[in-house]
Amino acid sequence: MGPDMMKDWQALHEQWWNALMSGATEFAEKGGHVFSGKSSGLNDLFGGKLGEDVGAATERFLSGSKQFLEWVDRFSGQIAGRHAVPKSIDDWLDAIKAAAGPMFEANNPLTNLFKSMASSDAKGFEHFFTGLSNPVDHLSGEVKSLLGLPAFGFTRERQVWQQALAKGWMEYQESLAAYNALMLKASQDANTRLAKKLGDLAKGKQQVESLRALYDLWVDAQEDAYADVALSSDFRAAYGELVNRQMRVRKLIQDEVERIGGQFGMPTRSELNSVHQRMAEMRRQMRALEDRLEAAGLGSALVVAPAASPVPAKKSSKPAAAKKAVGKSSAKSDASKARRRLA
Amino acid sequence: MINPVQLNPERVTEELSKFGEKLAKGMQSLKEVRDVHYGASDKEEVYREDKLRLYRFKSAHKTTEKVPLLIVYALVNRPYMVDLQDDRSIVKNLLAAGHDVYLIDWGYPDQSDRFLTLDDYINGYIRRCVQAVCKRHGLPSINILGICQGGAFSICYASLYPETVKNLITMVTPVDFQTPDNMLSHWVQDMDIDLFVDTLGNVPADLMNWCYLTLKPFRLLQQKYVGLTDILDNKAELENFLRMEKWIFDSPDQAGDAFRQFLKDFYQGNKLLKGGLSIGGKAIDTRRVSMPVLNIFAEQDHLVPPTASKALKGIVGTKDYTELSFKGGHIGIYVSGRAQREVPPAIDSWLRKRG
Repeated sequence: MGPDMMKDWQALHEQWWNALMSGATEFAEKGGHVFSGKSSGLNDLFGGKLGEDVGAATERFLSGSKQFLEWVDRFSGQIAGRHAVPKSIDDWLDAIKAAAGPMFEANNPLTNLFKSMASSDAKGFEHFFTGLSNPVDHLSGEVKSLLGLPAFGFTRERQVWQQALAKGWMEYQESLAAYNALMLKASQDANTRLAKKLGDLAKGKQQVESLRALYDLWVDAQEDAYADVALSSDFRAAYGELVNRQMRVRKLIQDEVERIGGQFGMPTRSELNSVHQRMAEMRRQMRALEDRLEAAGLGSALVVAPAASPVPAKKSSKPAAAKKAVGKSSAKSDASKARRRLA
Repeated sequence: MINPVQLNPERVTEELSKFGEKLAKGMQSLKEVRDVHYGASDKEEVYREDKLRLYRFKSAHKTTEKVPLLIVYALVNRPYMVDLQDDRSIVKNLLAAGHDVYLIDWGYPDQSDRFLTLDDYINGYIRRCVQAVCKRHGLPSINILGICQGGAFSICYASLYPETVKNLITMVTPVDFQTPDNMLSHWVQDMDIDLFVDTLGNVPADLMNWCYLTLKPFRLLQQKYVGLTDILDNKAELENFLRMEKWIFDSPDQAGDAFRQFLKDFYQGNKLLKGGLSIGGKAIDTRRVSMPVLNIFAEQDHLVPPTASKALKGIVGTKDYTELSFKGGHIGIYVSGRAQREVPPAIDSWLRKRG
């Protein structure tokens, strides 16, 4: 590639946003949208003007596309900023790594996993701690001096709980750091793998000719490296410890929530569990009894719904929010049935 | 050695322009597409218990097979995957082939179900559903199609009540839970499952989904959505994509105690393969699976690797064991065009030969 090609790359980096938007212009004009330049344009494009009223799938799509385009911006900037178009595999790798940025460092899977735990009794740590001080902070204060001491006195149980929570949180952070270190190892290994993939292409006299193809090759390298780490004995141990330690901290927090809830006369998870456990046992006993009646020919244990209760196809789709309503409805129906049975 | 990257600025400009065009058109398509529906076949509820519903699919075709087929799906996703849409429905194809098809829908467990055990699911729900179908047809035994985790349950059930299972079909079913390529299994080996379940109660669906996504995080969390631009201007393909997304993330929470036993005995103990498994105090002896068995697995299955499924051959007592290898993945085996052409006809043909 000669100097002209380099100039072309510099021009491309200056104009890539225009190139992208030239394809989108028709839609943009129809919608009356005016997009600013690339610096704020991506945010305009994905932050609202095209992305209003979108569902979860669309959000993911937007997120993926935005990260891809941000990479395009950085990557073309990398090439344009060099005095020559990369010629060797190492040069290309340098450009790719330098352009990677948050797109390729994002999605530490387990961290996000815990953050995403949004079900009723599985709120993420961050959510819990937004209203409270971080227990690690206590380590520099009064609790730190108590950690190594035996607890006693009227607040003995509170001291023990605080010590356990602070200790548990520290251990959890250590595990998270160990996990992140493995993720970093995978990321570094991915670069080696990408170099090999590029080398294999060159040996086979094949070439990557599009940004998407280069991106796909990078994803292959990342997945290969991640899989190797994720199947290692180190990862297995780190993963297990991370989950276990987080559960210990979570359990301590739950205990505290129970204590506080109990003080205000609120029903607690333990109490509900006790009731649900008894209900489950009663259901088993009732069904065992029904089986015995059935076996003795004293009645049908089966409650067969009327034949005429068709469920037409394509009407069974329910929005996610309907799940709970369905649950309530069926619970109501079950309760009615139980009453009929008891009667 | 040639330069492996040949990015021509002119071509990249064109690529970006096309990407922008697809993006813009696609956003318009996304705005126009609203909720996608699933379910190709009409069905009627024939039995219910707690949150479980047993459905019988209504067929527009003449039912020629006397022995009905009961589909036992996994707990971890919704069972409508087997009847997703008109051109992607194993059920529809089986109905067209003359089969009478039933399906267990487990529902969405809530915290009142956290103490449901595998005993409740296998000795309870599945057994009573089989009874209900047998009773409706006046038969002592029926055909069972167990899918994924539902397949593992079906193997347990068939070993406990072999007299009620005429033919057993397992599909993408894990049997050896500790094959070297099983990432999920690898991850849970050092987990304190008791602490996990005692803390969480039911295992949240979001957590389960995220765990599956992290098996291939770069592909499933990002590349897939970058690739979506390729089909955004095709309404039909976009709807198919959204339908799949809906299914993937429409997941029930997992009943705590059932999850506890499944993880400890199946994943950590690998007892279905190695022995020593008992459900509700009843020992599982897989040699009692003496009925004909058809085991279908997917060659590119990253959730249930083929070796995990093929282990079934070594533990069942039947002399009539058949394997069907499908060229596809764990999801493609239900919904791909190839699956529609290959899987239901294979099931139909195999069943017909066995009456």
